[in-house]
Amino acid sequence: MSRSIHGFERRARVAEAVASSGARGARRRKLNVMLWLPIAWIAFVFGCALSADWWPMPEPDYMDFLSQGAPPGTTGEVPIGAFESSEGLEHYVFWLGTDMMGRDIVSRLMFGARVSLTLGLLAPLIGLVIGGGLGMAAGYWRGMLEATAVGVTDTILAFPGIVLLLAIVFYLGGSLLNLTLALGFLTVPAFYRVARANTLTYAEREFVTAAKAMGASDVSILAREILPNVIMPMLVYALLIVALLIVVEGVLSFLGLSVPTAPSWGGMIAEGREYLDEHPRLCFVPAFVMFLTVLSFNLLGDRLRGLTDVRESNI
Amino acid sequence: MTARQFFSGVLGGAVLGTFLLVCAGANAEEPKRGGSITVGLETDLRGFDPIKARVLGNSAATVINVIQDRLFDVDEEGNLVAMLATGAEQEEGGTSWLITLRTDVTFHDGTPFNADAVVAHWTRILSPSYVGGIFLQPMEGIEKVDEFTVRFHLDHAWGPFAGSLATPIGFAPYIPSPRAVSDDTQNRHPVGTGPYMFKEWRSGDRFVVVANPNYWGDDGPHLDEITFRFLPDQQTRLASLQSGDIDVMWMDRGTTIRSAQKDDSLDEHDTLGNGSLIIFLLNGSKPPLDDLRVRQALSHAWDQTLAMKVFYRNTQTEITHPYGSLLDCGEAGYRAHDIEKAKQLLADYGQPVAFEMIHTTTPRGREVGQLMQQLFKRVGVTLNLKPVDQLQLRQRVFTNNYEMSGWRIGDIPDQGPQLFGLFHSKSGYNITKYRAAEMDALLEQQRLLTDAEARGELLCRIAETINRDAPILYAGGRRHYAFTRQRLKGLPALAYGLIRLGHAWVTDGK
Amino acid sequence: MAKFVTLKLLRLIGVVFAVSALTFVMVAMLPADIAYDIAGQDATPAQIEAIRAELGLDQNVLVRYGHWLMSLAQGDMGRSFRSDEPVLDAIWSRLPVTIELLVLSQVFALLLAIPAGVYCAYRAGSRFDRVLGSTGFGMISVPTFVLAIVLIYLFALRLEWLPATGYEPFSEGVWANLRTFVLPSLSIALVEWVPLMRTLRSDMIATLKEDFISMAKAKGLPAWRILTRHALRPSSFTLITILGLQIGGLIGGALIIETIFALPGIGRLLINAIYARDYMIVQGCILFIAVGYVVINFVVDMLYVALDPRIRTAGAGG
Repeated sequence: MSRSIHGFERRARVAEAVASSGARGARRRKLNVMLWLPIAWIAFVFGCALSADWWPMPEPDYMDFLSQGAPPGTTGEVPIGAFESSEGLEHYVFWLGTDMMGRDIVSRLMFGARVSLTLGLLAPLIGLVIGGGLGMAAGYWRGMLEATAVGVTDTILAFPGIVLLLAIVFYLGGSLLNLTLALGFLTVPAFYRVARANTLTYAEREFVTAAKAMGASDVSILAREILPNVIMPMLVYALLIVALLIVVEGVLSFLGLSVPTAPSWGGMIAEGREYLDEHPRLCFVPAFVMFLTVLSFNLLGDRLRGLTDVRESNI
Repeated sequence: MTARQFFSGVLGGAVLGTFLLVCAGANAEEPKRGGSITVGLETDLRGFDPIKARVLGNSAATVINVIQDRLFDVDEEGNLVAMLATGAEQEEGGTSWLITLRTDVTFHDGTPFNADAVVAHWTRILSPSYVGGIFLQPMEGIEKVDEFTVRFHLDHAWGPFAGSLATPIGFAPYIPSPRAVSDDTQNRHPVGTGPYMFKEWRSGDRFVVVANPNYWGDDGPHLDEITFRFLPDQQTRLASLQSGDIDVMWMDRGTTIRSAQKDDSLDEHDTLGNGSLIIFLLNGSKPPLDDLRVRQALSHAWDQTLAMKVFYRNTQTEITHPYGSLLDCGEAGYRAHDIEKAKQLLADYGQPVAFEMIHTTTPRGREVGQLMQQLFKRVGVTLNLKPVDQLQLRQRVFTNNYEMSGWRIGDIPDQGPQLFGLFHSKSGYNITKYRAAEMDALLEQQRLLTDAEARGELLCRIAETINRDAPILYAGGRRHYAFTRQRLKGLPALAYGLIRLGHAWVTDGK
Repeated sequence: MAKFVTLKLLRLIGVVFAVSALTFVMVAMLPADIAYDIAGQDATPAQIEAIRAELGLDQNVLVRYGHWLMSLAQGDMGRSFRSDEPVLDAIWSRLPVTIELLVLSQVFALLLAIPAGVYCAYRAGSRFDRVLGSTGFGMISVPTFVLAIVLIYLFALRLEWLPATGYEPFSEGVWANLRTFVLPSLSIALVEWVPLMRTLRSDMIATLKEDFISMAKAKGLPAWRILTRHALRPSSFTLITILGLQIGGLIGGALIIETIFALPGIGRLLINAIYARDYMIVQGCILFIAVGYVVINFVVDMLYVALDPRIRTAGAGG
């Protein structure tokens, strides 16, 4: 876990190193397919998460005690939608089977997407806003502000994130909101670094000096001249963090720290691990879904970085 | 174990040795000398000083059992067998006991075993600093009579007294070297009189013992060395057992037990104990659980049969009382799964029922919570789940800051003191806050009874009262499982879930 | 330069202190304390209180932190509340596991990354290069714990070549020991080799355009010799930096890998200690991890400076 949290920073610097050495280029021709496929998958997952309530399927926590560990395609009698009484049972096909407690895998995957996407998208947003703002300010004004910010971020980075997460889960309870806030906080230093590094390069450029000479205020320079240039690399970077956070949710599930009351992909993988020998699908189906999603966000991030590079070179 | 049975069972050491040998000879081939084994334990150990380590878990009990001896042992039939003691005599109507000791025993560190060693140990055990003393309440003190005789003083005649000296669980029965204790080395370098001696303890990894060449007993040590490995993950342990890296392990997960049973190269050992691996506490001081009808409705909503299938894959069996193999109370008025009855009781109560259950964040804890939530939902009860970690769960239970929680009833020689602790209105351990004058009376009576049959009847009435008033729900009894490689022999039944290796030997020994 | 290094060092010491203080307060704030662990399930409230008083847990957090700092200054990291084991011993006995996992995983990663990176740079744009590039991209998207499960499924459950989990110390034989580390290290290496390979490839492409390579080619030296003898070394600076960063991240132990494979490393020690509220062990581990992380980062930063003097001025604040 501490590895994954340090991973934010590491990934940031690794990504910078890889990007700055100009690794891409050769594959840009295939751009379209590799751009639209991930977008399509992400849209699909989004659609599932949003519409999960409306599909004709049992609730993700409904246990069909007659179909425990049922293979894909098994039929069972379940209540569609909210469980009211034992009378309204309907014929239903478990397309991906059920887990060892008789719960529908399809339903759990769709509801699980909510946890993964909420954590994956909202937490980086927190990091992006706070870390990005701090980084730009530090990169622009430098001085004491920068020194303090560096000290704080260094401390966060050297601090094993797992302790913070445990503290929050134990103290405040492992709700989705708490986890999102905690993980968001842990992404701040990484965004801070990217924002600061980018701001540093732009702060010395002619158009900034020109704006200063024309008497523009610092805030307006930051907002009008620097932000538009810094925001793209930040967003691209955010996509990589999204991918990472979806993985972190899985790691937390393994430690029993993810959102315990809602189904989540990581939770499904962790639960399925006990039956790996007999029913490998319990583990591998959610793992594959998670992999596709992570891959999609990574591809999207990579492609978009390619696009922003093009834009920069055109300036 | 009653006093009467015990008297008839108290034997001299010599007679006893013969008895054991006969047993071994009747059951199996002659033990071979030599060789070594590796044992897979679930947790690292905390230490072996009763006051410093405080609690002797199952893993540590497996280890201490080969290093330190007790005054008495219990055989397969539950009869007392002399170990470091040679006899016990009841005095003054059972309010004191005279115990005579062996005269030919020395500790691994050369300290002689005598009355001083026993008195020093038991004085510490009966002091308030020892946590496990809660179930030893009737014991008041111990005194030295002569070099090899001690006398225990009791508050009142107490049936389970002799059993308490013999049980293989808990620190109390295991006599450590008084020198190791006073030098403060006992905790991390245990010294006893047992068949094996401490060699090495690498924390987080392993604990090694070697044969005691000067062991006083006849049957053991047969092995040169025993290595205890700490393998917290049950699947890891099973994999290590199957690959031959370890020779024996204890397990409690249904999936692992089922896959071990499929493996022909392993021998299964299972023993029915008592108590319950999981019970659910319904806090009688918190509404709506303070209403009898609600608790009764919940016990009808709960489906123990299903729980056995889901949690244990039927490796544990349903129970109606906590006495397991000790006593048969029949149905004891158990409230079986019955949705209609539950709904009726709830309708009678007339208000919507919603409350919170705390459970651990472990896979088992989550399973338990989710199943409970589903079952209650089917009778219209809303159960909110609140996952907490193990310590928080204990804190909330001990500080009465919970409504419903998972717990357990330990497997111990006599359930009397434990049930007294749980259900007597004046007990400091009454975590369900259950209060009933009738129960108090029953619990007080069973304490004083020494007649086995009459006491058994009383205990069954206690079980019936529990089922009637529903302060707890049961989730299966306690069948202990261990699996061994076929080369390992000489394992007695798993009393209290303990793998006892004092007499173990291997077929490929010399 | 000396001033820059001194300043940087001072700041890092400050960071370590801040981290240890934060941890102390945070862990002390966790609900329930070690008394509940020590006392077990059969204790009465009075006994729990007594244990708390005995361990000094009834004192103020800051007082306790002060005590801890004082004894630390005297070189004493305290003892585990739970097992009475000296903290240093506990860390020391877990260290070999963490270090072995760390070293082996990076060795595996380099074994994959260097040949692949060199060849891809040599044949940049070839089909092999493109296939490897895409494979790498796919692999970096596999969560480490998923990879671990896949490896367990394939090599332990289906093929039965390697143990699924568990740990054998060196004393049980080198092979017995290595067997238990193959899958855990591979789970890390198969993800981490990708950035290494990519960096090496791109730096190498740049190096191959340099004059001294053309000269070597003109001399008629064989390609493999040019690649390994002449081009590899100047192309591996960024590689080393990234390697350092990856190692820095692994200092705390790859907790999830240690958990899945049941390896008794530092990460497991830490998390078990947190679950048990064994404050002394937690503090010891955190101190160790923070110092390790900070030192590695310091080394990496110094490497940056050594490689690129421009950073010396620009990086004064960072």
